[in-house]
Amino acid sequence: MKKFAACSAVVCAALIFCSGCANNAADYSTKSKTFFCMDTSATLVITQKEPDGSFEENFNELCTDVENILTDIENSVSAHKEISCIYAFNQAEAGATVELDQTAYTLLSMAMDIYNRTDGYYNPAVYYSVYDYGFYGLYGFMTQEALPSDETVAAYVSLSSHFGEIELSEDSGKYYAKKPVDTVKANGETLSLKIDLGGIGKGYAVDAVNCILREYGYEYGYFNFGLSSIAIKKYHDSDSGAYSLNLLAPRSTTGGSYLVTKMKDCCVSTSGDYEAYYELDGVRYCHIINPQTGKPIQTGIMTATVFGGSAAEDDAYTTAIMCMGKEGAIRFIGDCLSDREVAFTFDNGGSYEFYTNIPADRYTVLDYSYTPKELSLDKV
Amino acid sequence: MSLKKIGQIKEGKWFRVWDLIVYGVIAVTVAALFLSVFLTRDSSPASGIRITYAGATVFEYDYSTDKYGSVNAGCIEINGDSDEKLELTFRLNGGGYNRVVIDKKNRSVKVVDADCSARKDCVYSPAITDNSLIICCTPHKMIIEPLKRTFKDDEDIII
Repeated sequence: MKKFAACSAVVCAALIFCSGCANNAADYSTKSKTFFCMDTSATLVITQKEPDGSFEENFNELCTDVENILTDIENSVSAHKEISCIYAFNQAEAGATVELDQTAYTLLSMAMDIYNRTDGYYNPAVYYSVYDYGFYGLYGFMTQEALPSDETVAAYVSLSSHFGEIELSEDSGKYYAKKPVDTVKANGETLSLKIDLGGIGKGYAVDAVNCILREYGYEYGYFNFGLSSIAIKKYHDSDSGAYSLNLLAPRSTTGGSYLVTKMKDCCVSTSGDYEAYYELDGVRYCHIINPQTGKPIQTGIMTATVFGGSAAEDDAYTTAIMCMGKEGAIRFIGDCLSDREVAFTFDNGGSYEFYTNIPADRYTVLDYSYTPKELSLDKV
Repeated sequence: MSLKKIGQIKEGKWFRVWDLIVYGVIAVTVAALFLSVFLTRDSSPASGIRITYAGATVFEYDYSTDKYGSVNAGCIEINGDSDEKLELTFRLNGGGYNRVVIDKKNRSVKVVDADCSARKDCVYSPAITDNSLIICCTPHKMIIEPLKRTFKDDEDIII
């Protein structure tokens, strides 16, 4: 009997070992589609476990829904399309009341909320500065002579500081925004407040698509809006179900990343001074305008990435962090973003650093020219 | 054990039938486990190499692109880089080194010299030519391993 038991135990051990070697891989199918919207591309990737014949049909239906929502958002909040509410708002006289659609109203409400939470560092009313520094056109051809004067920029700063005075209202299912009465004179013209919600619009679109993905019940895949915002579901072919999220090294000439971390079921947004910029006489002019100066940021922060929460909020927060400077950003992250994970890179006089509250065991440094620093004011 | 019991054992057969069955099953199982480990090892060519110190990556090299993924200037010194081979030295802050040669043509890596211990196990370890091998220098907490993390289009997202 003892020998039979010993024999059985050995056989069982072998069976258990062999079961660990078994290939339990399920059948997966992945489909993707690229969309073009808001002057950039967006990619939808969906993986279906054990797909049946309806996967293709459902995916095509999903793509149609995504395309429709992206078009609706762009038509609603574009600063340049004549059919958009925001375009109408920008063209209106100072003090005028403009009717908005629900999307524009929601987005503008969110923008004003984040404007207040970031002490004005996120300000979509830097429209004129963005325009004068060439970022609505062929900024690659900018010259020193074409840059706006300090006097002009000061006027723009004064005007944009009235963003918080926009009055939003709702009446009988209709939405309205009243422009501030203040105007400024610059270059011989009287200017009223203009806004561009592009800094938050891509994140908002990602949130909207993420909702659609939830409704469809897709578990695996992601929706990536350019290099700006992304909604990540699960990755099908890893034990943890997490994707490897590579954060671009802002000064890499080969498209390398400085950090990789695993993420699933969350939204991520990022801003960087490498996305659109030009250099004149050794000075870097990027598309992110500091509302305090009215000029392209010179804070040393090269990129900012926020993980968790809504992509629209993250989109605005990353822009604000870029404008705050290192100490201000660390303080803000500690005070207001303690529920999210944040990483930003900083150019410390030619030596690159990155600050993050992601636990060290959850990321890998890919580029050691970026030195990890603790996200704490005591350590600065 | 009593003398009577010893006497019984001496008189008894060396192997009874059940003994043989049990030994046979154990022998077959051990052979099967050995073969399964040997046959299922990942002998595919390495796409690159990674050097880690105390668990942290300090150097990565990709054969296909002939590029360094990351270099920790604090402990990696590049001594020579030609079309044929890449020579580098891993240096510890407190002293100590391992000289590593990467043969680009044959896609193999070897430690050619070190001052880690008298035995120099890392120097006598076989070159890494596929994904099943590693070179470990325990005194220096350094490991050279194949770079299995190829950039998978579907898993890696860049933002």
